[in-house]
Amino acid sequence: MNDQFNQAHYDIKQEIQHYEHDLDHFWTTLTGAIVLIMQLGFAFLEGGCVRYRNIQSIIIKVYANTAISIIMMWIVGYGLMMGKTNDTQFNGISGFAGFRFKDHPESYADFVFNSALAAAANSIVSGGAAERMSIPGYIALSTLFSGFIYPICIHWAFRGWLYDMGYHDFAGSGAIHLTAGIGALVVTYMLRPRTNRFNPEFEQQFKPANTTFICLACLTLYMAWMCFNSGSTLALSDGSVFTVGNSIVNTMVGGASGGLFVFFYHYFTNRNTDNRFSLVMVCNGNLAGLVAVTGSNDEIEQWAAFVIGIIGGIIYILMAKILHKLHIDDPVDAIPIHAGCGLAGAMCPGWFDRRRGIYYEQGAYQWGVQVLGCVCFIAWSAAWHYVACLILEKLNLLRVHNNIELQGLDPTICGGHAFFYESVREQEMKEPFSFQIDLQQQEQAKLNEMEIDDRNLSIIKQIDK
Amino acid sequence: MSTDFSVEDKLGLLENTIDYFWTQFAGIVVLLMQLGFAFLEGGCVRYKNMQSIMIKVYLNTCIAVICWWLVGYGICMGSGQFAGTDYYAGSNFTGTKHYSHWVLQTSVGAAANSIVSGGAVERMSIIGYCFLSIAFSSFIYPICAHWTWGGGWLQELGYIDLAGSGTIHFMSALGALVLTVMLGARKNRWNEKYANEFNPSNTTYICLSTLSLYTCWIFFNAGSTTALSGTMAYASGRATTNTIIAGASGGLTLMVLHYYKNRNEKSKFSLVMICNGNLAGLVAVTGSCDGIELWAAFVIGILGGLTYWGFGILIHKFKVDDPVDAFPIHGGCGLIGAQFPGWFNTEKGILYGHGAKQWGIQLLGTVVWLGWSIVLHAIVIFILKILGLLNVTPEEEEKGLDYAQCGGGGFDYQLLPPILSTSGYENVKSAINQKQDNAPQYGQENDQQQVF
Repeated sequence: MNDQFNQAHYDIKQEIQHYEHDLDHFWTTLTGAIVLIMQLGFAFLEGGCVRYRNIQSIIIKVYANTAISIIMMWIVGYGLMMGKTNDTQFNGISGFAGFRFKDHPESYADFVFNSALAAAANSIVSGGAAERMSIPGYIALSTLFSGFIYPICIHWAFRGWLYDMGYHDFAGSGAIHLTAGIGALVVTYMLRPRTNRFNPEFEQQFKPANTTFICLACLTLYMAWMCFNSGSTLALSDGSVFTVGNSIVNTMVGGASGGLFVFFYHYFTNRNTDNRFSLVMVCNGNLAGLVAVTGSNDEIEQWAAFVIGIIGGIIYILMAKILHKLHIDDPVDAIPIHAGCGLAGAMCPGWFDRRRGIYYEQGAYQWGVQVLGCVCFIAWSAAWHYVACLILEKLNLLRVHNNIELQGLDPTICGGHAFFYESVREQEMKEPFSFQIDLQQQEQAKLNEMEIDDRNLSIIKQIDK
Repeated sequence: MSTDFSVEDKLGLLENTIDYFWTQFAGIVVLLMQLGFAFLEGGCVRYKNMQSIMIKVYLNTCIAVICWWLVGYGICMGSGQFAGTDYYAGSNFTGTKHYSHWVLQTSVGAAANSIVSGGAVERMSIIGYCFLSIAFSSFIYPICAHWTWGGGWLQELGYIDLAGSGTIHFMSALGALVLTVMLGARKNRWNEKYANEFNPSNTTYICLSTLSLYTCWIFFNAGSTTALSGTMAYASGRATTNTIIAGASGGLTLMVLHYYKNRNEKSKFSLVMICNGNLAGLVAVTGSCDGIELWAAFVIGILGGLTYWGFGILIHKFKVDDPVDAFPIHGGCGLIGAQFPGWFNTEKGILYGHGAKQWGIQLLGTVVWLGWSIVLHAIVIFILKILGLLNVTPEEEEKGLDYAQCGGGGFDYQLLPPILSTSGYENVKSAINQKQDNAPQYGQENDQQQVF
């Protein structure tokens, strides 16, 4: 009797553990699926930032890199990233092309989540490639990034030697955003600025084509970022749900404080102009705060998330100014947001983490490891992107010909413009609004008055004579 | 796989895990409603004000998050009859349900904040709107949330409002109404000559927003059950089903009404009407969706559509300029939505033979929202008016807030040079194969280049 009871008790416990695993895999898969909608966010962020005649080309690049990331992650990336680590803990050596998955079914959920993150990282690099990079060249770079450059960094940070040293980067401020942001920096530097970008005569041309697209993108990214960050627990059971909740709260607060800070900074420095309120600024500030809080949001207090959001905003503003001064052309502000705030975000666990941070008197060891990690990511990413761009330049696959760039990539190689606004212009010319008719009548009346005055004046002059 | 744990503890933790997961995940999806509100209001206003209203919606999202973190959640969830006394600034959250509840309440609070912004379009100062937003998210709305869900006196009386037909939609829409009345109508709004100017500038944005709001509303309603364990999964499922049905019947009602009224004109099919009807049905079912039957949801959607239609006519008759129809949808349908638990609720409603006591409590709640919202909003807006932070100058309003304050229109395609040809491939076929591109090197950027 006792044996039967013990066996039943053991069976119940097994059952419970199965449910826990189910819950964890469900959570990882769900958040991975939602992170995929960040690609919509990136497509419309970059589509809204570039000029009208290049909108289709940048969205093609983002869509292509989504597909490429997933395929490359499947073939080599996931294995390099999450496979059993090799002797030097440099890269993974199992799980390529899904071979191991049948025997380790937990890998499916893990793959979904990590490949969605890889797609997001890939899209960050496309920001530096906007408007002037050849599309085949970009596809090659994208393949290298998601097949090699990026998985190695993730492996170091979450499985390999850096992880063993204690590097803590909850959702990848350093490993994802900094890596990709430095890639964008190198690519944008090697591409050289867009033609006439820093020529004062043509400055007016380089405004975002559609700021409502940017708003659409950033509100979508704000929501999806909750899953990007909190999904990194890869678990709900055994108390992880509290970490998830903490993570979401911190992400929301950090994003909000970043957005408000950058918006009001822009307001106070442009107080007396007709450009004092900027939709682009509140959107970019939001993203800056989100990136900055990405690395540390599982183990910080909410006030720390608030402060980190503001730090992200400050770094965004400073870096944008520095890049402009150095005449480095970053069409979508990817570098200040992802590289700059990614670097800050990777430092924050060393400062604000409840269990490891300087603020909580745990010493500076954690910060030291974070700095080491960041240096490695910067060096690795910069070196490989530089080499890749050199090779592409030799193959004439880096920058499009000047004629193509000046006309715009859309009409020359993408089959035409994204949408035709010409019909709107024609409509406006054919049927002006009533207030426009009124204005026309007023102007006509003024012209008539001026004519009468002129005639009177000439009559007076004649009389004088 | 150690089996060294207590079964009761684990099961308890698992139940909590599922509940907290549901609440915070619903909160995450409800945050996407801000996109819906931004594009709903952006599509309804005139083009020259589109960026300004998107700025207002984005700002009120961020302000709602910060205010709810600092004070709002404490007021809402702390203990006490009038207002809470703990949980401010995230204190005492660790290891409790409060993380997940904060996420849901804040996202819902941000949505409530956006409803008020509907009254502020096109003519309110953005700085003034920030102050109103702070007042709304720090005090006006959290108190209402506390009374309904946080253990306040109304909840103890038995007031039923699952996701806030009365508490959120009716209350916020009254704020939008007070705001829009105190701002005054837009210039030339009631002038016959200018009737065409005030059409929505982009109905596709309205469609984008309403279709995404439709999905997010499912989480807005069903997530408000805040639990999946026990039998609550069935309640959440019921809430979801009723939400979907009421939204659908609302949209169809408006489409049919509009078609019938305009069947001999060229505007007989209206995208805006079906979208607004959808929202009207959703608002109307928000308060009662977990405790009613499916046929009731269908009827509620129709009643919501009719109420929206009626209130729209009333607003127009009283010459109140409500640019985004905030009051007819959220106020009118919120008003009747707050009554529906008293009629259709299977356990307490009149139709199931339980008498009118529940309806009486619902009416009491409605009157409370009416008084609270109108008085407080009027005070705050009056203070803004005295400080000169309410209206923008008439010149700025004439020019358009985007051009006067926001650096230009959202997408000034009309300022671009004309498109010379739709395919420029012929022009550049030879250039594509050339080895050398002649883009300027660093240091040579200011050389004159021809620009097409």
